[in-house]
Amino acid sequence: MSAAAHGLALVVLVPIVGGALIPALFRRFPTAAWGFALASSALTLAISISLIRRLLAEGPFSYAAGGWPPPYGVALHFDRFGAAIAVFSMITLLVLIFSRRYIPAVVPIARIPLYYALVMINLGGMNGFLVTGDLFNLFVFMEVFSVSAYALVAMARGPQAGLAAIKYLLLGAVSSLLVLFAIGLIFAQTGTLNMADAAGRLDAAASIVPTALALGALTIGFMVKAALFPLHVWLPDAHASAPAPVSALLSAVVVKAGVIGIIRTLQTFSDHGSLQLMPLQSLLIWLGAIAVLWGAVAALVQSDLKRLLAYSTVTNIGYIFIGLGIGSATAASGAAVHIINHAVIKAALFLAAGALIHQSGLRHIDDLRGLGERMPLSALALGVALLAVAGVPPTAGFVGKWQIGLGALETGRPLLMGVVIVGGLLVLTYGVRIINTLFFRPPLHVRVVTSREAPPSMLAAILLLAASSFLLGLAGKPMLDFVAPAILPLTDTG
Amino acid sequence: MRKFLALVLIAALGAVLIAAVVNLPEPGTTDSPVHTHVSAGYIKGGHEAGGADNLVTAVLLNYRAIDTFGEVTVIFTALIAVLAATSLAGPTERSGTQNIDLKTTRVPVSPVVSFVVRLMAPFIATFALFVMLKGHELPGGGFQGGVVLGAMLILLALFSGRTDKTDDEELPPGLRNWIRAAGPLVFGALGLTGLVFSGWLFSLPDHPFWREMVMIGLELGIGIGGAAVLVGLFRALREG
Repeated sequence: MSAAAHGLALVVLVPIVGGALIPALFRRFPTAAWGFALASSALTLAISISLIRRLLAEGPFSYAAGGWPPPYGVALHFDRFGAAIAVFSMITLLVLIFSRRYIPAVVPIARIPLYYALVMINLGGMNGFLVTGDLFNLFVFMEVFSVSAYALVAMARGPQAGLAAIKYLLLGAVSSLLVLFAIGLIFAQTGTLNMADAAGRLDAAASIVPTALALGALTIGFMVKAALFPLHVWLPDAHASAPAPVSALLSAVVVKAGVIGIIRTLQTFSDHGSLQLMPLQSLLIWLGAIAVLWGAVAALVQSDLKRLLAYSTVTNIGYIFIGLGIGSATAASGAAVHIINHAVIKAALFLAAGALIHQSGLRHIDDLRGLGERMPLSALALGVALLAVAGVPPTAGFVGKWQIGLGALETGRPLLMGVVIVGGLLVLTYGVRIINTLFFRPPLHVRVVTSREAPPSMLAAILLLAASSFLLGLAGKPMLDFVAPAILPLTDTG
Repeated sequence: MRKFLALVLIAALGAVLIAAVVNLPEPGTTDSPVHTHVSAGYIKGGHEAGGADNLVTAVLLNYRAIDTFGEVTVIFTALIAVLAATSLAGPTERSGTQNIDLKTTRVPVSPVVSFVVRLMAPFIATFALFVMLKGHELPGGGFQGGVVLGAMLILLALFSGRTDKTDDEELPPGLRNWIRAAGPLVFGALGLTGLVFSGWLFSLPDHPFWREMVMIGLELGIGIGGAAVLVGLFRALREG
C-alpha cells in the first residue's frame, strides 16, 4: 500500500487534534484561534483532495489503522460516497471564514476558542464517519460529531437555543442508542465489526429476526440524524436558533451524515439472501414524499427567515430519500448528487441569511423589506441560492431533483414525479416571495435603512457558495458520472 | 390517556427487542460467532502480537486504537460542550451571589468525614495511579483509573473548604487546559509516532519495551485527561 492512504486516518486525526489543541493554545489570545482552525481545516481539505485523486486513479481503497489487517483492526475505506469529505471540509472552511467577524459578536470572547474547537472536532467526526469501514468505529465518530453539534447549537444566546439543544440532544441520544443496539445485534450474530465482513456473514446467522431488527434500528437511528419526516421534529428549532454559521454547518453537512448512514446500512444488508430491502425502500420513498410536501408547506407559513430555511432542509432530505428509495441508477445518482449540491446551496442560504440578520438585527421576513438596496451582494447571494434550492434550471438544485423525478418516471411512478414538481413549485413560491420582499418592497423598518453591507470575510464565503450553487448546476453531468460507480450496490436491490 | 398510550408503546417496543434478543445465538456456547471469529484471533495472537497480558487493553490500545481515540475525543468534547453551554450570563457575576447563599444555607462539614476524606485521598490517588500503570497487565486501565482519580479530586474539592473562593484554581489555568486535552493529544501523538516507527498511523512500536512504554503513556493520558475532564465538569456545574 502506497503512502497516500495514510490520508484516510489523517483526515480524522488532523481536525480532531487541531480542535483539542485550540482551548489550550488560545486561552490568552481567543481571537487568534480563528487562524489556527482555518489552517487545520485547509490542511484537512488538502488531504481529502489528495485522497480523491488517488480514488480517481486506482478506484476504492482501504487503510488498516494501526497496521492490523481487517477484521482484527479497524479498516478505513474510501469510496465515492466518502469523497463527500472534500466538499464538507470546503464548506467547513468557508463557514470558518464567515465566523471570523460573526462569532465575536454573538459568543463571549473567552468562549471563542471553544467554538472553534467544537467546529474542528465536528469536522473530524464527520470525516471519520464517512471514511470508516467498521461498524463500531462508525458509532464512535457519530458520537464525536453529534456531541459537538449539540454544543454548537447551545452556543447561541437566549433560552430558545438551550431548549433546542436539549431537544436535539435527547432525540440524538435515543437514535445513537438504537444504532449501538443494532451494532450489538450484528456483532452477536457475526462475531465481527467490519462492515464488509459482517455483510458476508449475516446470511449464515441462525435466525433472521435479530438481523431484521438491526436493520430497523439502524434505519430509525440514522433517520433521526438525517431528520427524515416524521423524525425531523428537532431540526427546525435547532437549525433556526443556532448561530448562523452553525446552522449552515448543521443543515448543510451534519444531517447528511444520517443520509450516508442509511446508504451504508443499505449497502451492508443488500447482499443478504433472504432479507428483502424493497419494503424498507418503499417506506423511505413515501416518508420522503411526505417530507417534501410537509417541509414546503411548513416553510410557506413561516415568518422567521432561518426557520423557513430549516424547513427547506426537511424538504430536501425528503428529495434525497425519494431518490435512494427508488434505487434505480438514475434516481440514486440524482440523490447522491443532491447530497452534495444541497450542502453547498444550504450553506449559501444560511450564511447569506445570517449576514442579513446580523447586519440588520431583524429576523422576520416582513421586517427585511427593502434590505436588498442596502446589502445588495448578500441579498443577491440569498436570491441565487433560493432559486437553486427551488431547483430552477440551470442551478445546482435542478440536477438532483430532475434525476430523481426521471427515476420516478422510469420506474413507473408518475405520482412521485408530481410530488417532485409540486415540491419544487412550493419552494419557488416562498423563494420568490423573499426575493420580492428584499428587492422590490420599500423598507418598513428603520434598521433596514441604517444597515450596511456585510464585512469582506463574510461576503467572501457567501459569494463563493452562492456562485457554486449556480455553477455546480452546469457541472451536473461530470458529477453524475463521478457518483455512478458508487451507487451500483444500491441499484442491485431496487 | 397519554400515559396509557406510552405504556402500550413501550410494551410493543420491548416485545420487539426481546424477540430479537432471544433469537440471538445462546450466550456462553463456545461455537457462537462471537467466540469463534474475531475474538478467537485476539485470544490466539493478542498476548504476543497485541503486546498486553490484559487482552481487553490489547484491543483498546492496539487493535482498535482509533476507536479509543474517538472515545477520548467524545469525553473531551463533552467537557467543551458543558463549558460552552453553561449560562452565558457569565460565571463570575452569578457565582458571587450564589456563594453567599451557599455560606448561609450550607450544612457544616463534619470533621470526621472531612478527616477521613483527607486521610484516604493519598491512598485513593495511589490506587488510581496503580490501575492506570498496570492496566496492560491486570484488570483496569486508563478509563477506570481516571474515574477513581477524578472522584478523589471531586471529594477533596467538596471537603477542602476552599469552595467559598471564586478563583480556587487547583492548577494554573494554562496548564489545566493542556491536561484536559491529554486524552486526544496522547492519541494524536501515538498516531504520528506510529507512522514514523512502524509505518502505520495508530500502531504501537514492535519492540516490547517501547510498546509497553507507549501503552503506559496512553493509559496515563487517558486517565489523567479523564480525571481532569471529570473535575472540569464538576466545576462547571458549580459555577454555571
